[in-house]
Amino acid sequence: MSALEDQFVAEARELIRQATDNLIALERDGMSPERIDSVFRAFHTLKGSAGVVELPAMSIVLHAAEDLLDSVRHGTLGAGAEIVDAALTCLDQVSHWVDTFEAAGALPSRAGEDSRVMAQRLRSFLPRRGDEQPAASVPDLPNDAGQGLLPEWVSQLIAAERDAITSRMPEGPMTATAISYEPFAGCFYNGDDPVHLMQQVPGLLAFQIEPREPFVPLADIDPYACNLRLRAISIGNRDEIAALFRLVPDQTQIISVPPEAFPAAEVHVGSGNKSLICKVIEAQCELLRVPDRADELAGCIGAVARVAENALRHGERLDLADTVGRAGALALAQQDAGPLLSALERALAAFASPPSTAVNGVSQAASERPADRVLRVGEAKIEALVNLAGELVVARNALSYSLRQVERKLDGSEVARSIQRDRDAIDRLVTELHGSVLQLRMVPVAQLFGSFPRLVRDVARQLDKKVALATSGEATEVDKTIMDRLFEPMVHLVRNALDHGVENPGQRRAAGKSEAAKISIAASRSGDRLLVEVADDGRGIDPAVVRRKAFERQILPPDELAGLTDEAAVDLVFSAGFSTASIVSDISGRGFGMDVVRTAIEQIGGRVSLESKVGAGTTVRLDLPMTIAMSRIMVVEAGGQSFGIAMEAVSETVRVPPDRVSTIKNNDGFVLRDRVVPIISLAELMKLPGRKRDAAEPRLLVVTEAAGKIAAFEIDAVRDRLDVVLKPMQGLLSGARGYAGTTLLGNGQVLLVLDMKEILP
Amino acid sequence: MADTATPAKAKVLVVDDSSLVRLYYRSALEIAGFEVKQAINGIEAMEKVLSESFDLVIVDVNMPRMDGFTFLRLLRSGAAADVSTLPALMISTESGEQDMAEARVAGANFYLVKPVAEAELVRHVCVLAGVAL
Repeated sequence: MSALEDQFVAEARELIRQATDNLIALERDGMSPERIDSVFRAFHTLKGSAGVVELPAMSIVLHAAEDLLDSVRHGTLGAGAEIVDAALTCLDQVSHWVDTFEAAGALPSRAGEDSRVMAQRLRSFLPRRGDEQPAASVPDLPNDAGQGLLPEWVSQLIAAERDAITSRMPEGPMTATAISYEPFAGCFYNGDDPVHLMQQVPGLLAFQIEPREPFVPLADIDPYACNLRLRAISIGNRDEIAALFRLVPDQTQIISVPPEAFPAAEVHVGSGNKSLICKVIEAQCELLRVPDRADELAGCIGAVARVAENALRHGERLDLADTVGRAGALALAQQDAGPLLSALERALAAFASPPSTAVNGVSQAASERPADRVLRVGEAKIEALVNLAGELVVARNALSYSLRQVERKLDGSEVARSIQRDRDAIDRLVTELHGSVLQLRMVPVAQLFGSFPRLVRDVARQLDKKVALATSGEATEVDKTIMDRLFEPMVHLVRNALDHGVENPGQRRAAGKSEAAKISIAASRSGDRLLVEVADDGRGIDPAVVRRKAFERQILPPDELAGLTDEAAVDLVFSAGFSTASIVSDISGRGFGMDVVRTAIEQIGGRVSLESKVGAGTTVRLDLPMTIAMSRIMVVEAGGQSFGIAMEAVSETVRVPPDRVSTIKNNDGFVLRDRVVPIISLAELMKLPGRKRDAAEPRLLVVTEAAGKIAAFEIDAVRDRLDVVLKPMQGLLSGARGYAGTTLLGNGQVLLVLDMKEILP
Repeated sequence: MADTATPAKAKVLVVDDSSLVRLYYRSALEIAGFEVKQAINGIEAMEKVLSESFDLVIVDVNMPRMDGFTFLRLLRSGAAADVSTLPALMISTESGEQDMAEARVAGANFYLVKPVAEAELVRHVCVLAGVAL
């Protein structure tokens, strides 16, 4: 995708979110001119941007929605639930298209059809005026017979706006549309805005505005009477244009203009200059390629640099002009055209591809928004940076190891001290760099919370419940990875609260509560932990019901159940397969319960707790790390089990033929680069049955180093290299030595990760 | 070489032995906002470029006393950097590859074949002199 398209996708998402938020607020809080204006503007900008990246289907839908919203804005239409629904549905469609566009670079093939259906639906809400005529009946003068029959004003307009037309005209023959719009003198009283209407014409090539009658002396002017004639040439879709003017058919002429009515395309300016600039730069390259220059060399290099700089400056690429200027100076100093020639070739390539910043339409729209002065960087780039910083950390550790060896050999020498100083400096820098790079991934949770107003609204409507959502702590920052993985569990929690927690209005009234339930989502920071709370003021979880369900589902034997405190009983909702919903509903999914939430949260190193009071509501607390501390591990197999070994500790894996293994006092060992390395069977160490081995089979060894010790662990196979979140050993195992922790594998299996420092003999 | 991009206009020297051609170029360029000086052959052109500074020279090939190629070779081998690097547009009646190659060897930055339409001329001059249209 081009930079322009990237920008469009990012901007579209933001506008969609903005419009969604405001639509929901509009429905919740009632009509407000600022809100509807903001929604209208978002649709309007979105429509414009869709035009810039040439997605006509999207423009058509947005245009229809814009008309609808315009009516709401002007009070001809109320902002009822069905209108908000229609606008939201439109946003859903557009959002879906944006996703498709990002993934595939185009809209789905049926987008055109979908857009027409949706546009029609949107327009069906618009009030029909008695005098309105269908768009198709806009008078169409007999004009397709050729240029000779064009009304004179069309030819005059083309002649007068020749430069504007030729500079904007696309390559190749095209059919254009000429529009003449003479609004009635009293048009302002009808609510018409002629100039605004004209501005909405897609694909404008030229536009003229002039008085219809000569203006009377200023003292006699009636400022409420429109005395204008607006004329334009457009290459936009004719049907779209006709639809625009459907309310003023008696005041407009819309005429198709055949290609031959336009001046020859040869006199292109504008976009045509780009190819001229390329041609000029190419000619400069040719000039430099002339061999055997003597006295004229300096003059030619200078002239070439000057002209190339000029051409690039003319093409508004000051950056490239600058580079070329410097290369010219270098070439002059060396009396060699080479540096300039290669700079020109690079500039030519860079100029031919679209510049990243000099795009007018969208980037200008983006700069109009004052807030949000952020740099957008692709996630992949940040990820690459994070990985590099991680590797740097490992390399620094290796340096420490080498330093110790140097110290042993050259104890107290100047060299060792000097290396140590450098190591310390690098140490500090690497730690800081690693920290700052991790900071790049920190994003405010507002991005996550932003999806909930819509969700709550839709689900509440579906369930016929009244719910007010409150969010707080949106500015709290959290690692993007955490946030991404937090989304699903949060959706689950919110849906649970809506579905099971919140009562319907009747029940709430009966319980003496307000009809509208309250759900709150709050984020806060506590030390290096992120706390997220999802709370509702619904019916709460009844420990008695939980006990009964747990019994029915045989989660615990009856005697154990009886011994549980109420809090512990409520915690049983986190058990696998537990669900308090009597009816499996469409809302909270099937068979998924809180256990799924717990697993997901624990996978990212978090904890879930729950507090509930019957009749008063439920609060679920998520206690999460701010960043995911990922460890790179190697998964190995020994004695039929899998173990993780931290990659930092692994120096290498080797296959050693049996004849290189020697036995010293019942212990095996082998020589690796002048060092005797003891061999330890991992299976034996773990008290697992060893595998029978062919005598001639080479032995697979993982050479590990930690805390200055070295050993080779014999394993059966290397399975994988993974980035995982390590969880410290808990419960009974928390005292077990030799383990760095556990991690959950993708298949749900728990993997024990070995602590090499402890294990090495 | 930095000061060529005065955005409003630039100074152009037109070198052609035909007064009609000079008039044609001059009117087109002056309407487009350029300052135009004229010379009727290579020698006069050389005197002009040495006495005042230009942003671009438009030069014909066939002229009495000193032709365009000779003028360009002399210009490019001059000692003063601001003169020897003067951007040059050569406009000739010859469309052959050999003339174009010779223009390149002489140090012409660009080559056009007569007749050149006004708009085309202005467009090329704008690009070569680095000014907006």
